[in-house]
Amino acid sequence: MDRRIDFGVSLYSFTQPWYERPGYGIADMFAFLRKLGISQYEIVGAQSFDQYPVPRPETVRGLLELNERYGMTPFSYGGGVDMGKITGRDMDDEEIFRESLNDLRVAQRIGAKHLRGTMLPLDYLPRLAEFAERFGIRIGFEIHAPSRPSDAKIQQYLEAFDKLDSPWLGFVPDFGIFIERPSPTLKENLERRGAHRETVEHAIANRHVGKTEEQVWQEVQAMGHAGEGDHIAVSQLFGHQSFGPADFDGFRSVLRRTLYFHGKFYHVDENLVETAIDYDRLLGLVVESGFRGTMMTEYEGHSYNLDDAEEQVARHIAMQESILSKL
Amino acid sequence: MPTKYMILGYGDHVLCDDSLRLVRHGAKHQSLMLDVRLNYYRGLHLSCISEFELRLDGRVVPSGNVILSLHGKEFAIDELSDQYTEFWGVKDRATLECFLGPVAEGGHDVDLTLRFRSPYMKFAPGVYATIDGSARKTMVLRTIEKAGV
Repeated sequence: MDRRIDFGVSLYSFTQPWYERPGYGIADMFAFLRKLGISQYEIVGAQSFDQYPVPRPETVRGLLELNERYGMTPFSYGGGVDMGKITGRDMDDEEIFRESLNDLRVAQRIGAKHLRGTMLPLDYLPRLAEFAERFGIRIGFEIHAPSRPSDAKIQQYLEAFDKLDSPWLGFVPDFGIFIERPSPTLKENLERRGAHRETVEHAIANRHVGKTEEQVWQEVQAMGHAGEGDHIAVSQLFGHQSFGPADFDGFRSVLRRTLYFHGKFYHVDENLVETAIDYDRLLGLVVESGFRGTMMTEYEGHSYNLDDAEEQVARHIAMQESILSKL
Repeated sequence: MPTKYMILGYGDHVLCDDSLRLVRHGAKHQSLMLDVRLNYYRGLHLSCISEFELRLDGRVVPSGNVILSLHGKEFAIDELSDQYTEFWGVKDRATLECFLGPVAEGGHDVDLTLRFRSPYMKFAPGVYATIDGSARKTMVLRTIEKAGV
């Protein structure tokens, strides 16, 4: 087992019970994680706090008490600037920078050592690195779908990070950028929402053959499937539930400036395989790069309205252990 | 272009069960109240609400007759777009208070249109993802008598 890589779990993984189960809270998540042998976590402010971007003092106190009681360590704080919260205008870069400093303060208050922050223009990076160092908190910019590591913009940040050569700034690649095929749970969910199986299969088969979403939607209607569920299926498979060839080369290039990973996933089956995302290959590349650090498990099954976070998080950790033990 | 309206799977929780109530303040004054939640994975500032319409038994309740209260503060629907410091947490209930004429006890068709922008999912200047948090259900009205006005 490669012990250069350790595990944490984002509390975001428990979105479904957090939202739906009366009385379910962070204490329940911590109790479960301790049973799994996990002591590091990420917390997403806009989800876990009832006041944001500045949590109430009693919220912070409550979290610190729970850390103590369960022996949990806040690895990272999922901040992020709501640059569109003011109706009628976008925040400018200076405002986003100021809000990023606020996120650093919150990360410090809760005791996190990393902030998953909002990307600022390149000329802000030296100032941001300076503040990160002052607070003792590393700031990671997430590489999230639909971005790919090879995108020109990501590569510009890579170059800037290299030039700055600061340990305080880097990337947080989200494994959701490597979805190569729809998860079986996505297909089931689309059917539950009223899509015909034929619609789902047609949209998948025609996703990467040069057709537009509108063309495929016309074709599906011509097949006699014109319901709302069919429309949602086409729209999602071309939109935020998209998939495609994984950018492994790009991934390799950003590893040297990666602070930690979001181990996003949608379904690990009973054989400990995530069929949508090639974890074998990705973890292989991580180990090959000599990376030392943390894989932050991030289950997103709530997108398909599945209340199985505990089983899935446990399987995800077991899958990673199994893959790493063979490397 | 991304999905026009993203809809998460919590639609059934938006109109909180058993929360439809008619509060009588003496003989003449009454208000219809109802608790609502966001259909999203995270909380939002009230300013992010971009569309709001409440229908009761098919009839629009004029937005000027509706007050939204959250954390002990009250807002007119038209004021919501300015409230970028008022955060509605994802586990929190907001209460809608509607000033209406007589409403019968029993089942009512409650139809809420609630759309909001996701304030960090920016696609272009001024363009953000729209989340559809609308919900409709038949709710049973109960009456609560309150002394005084």
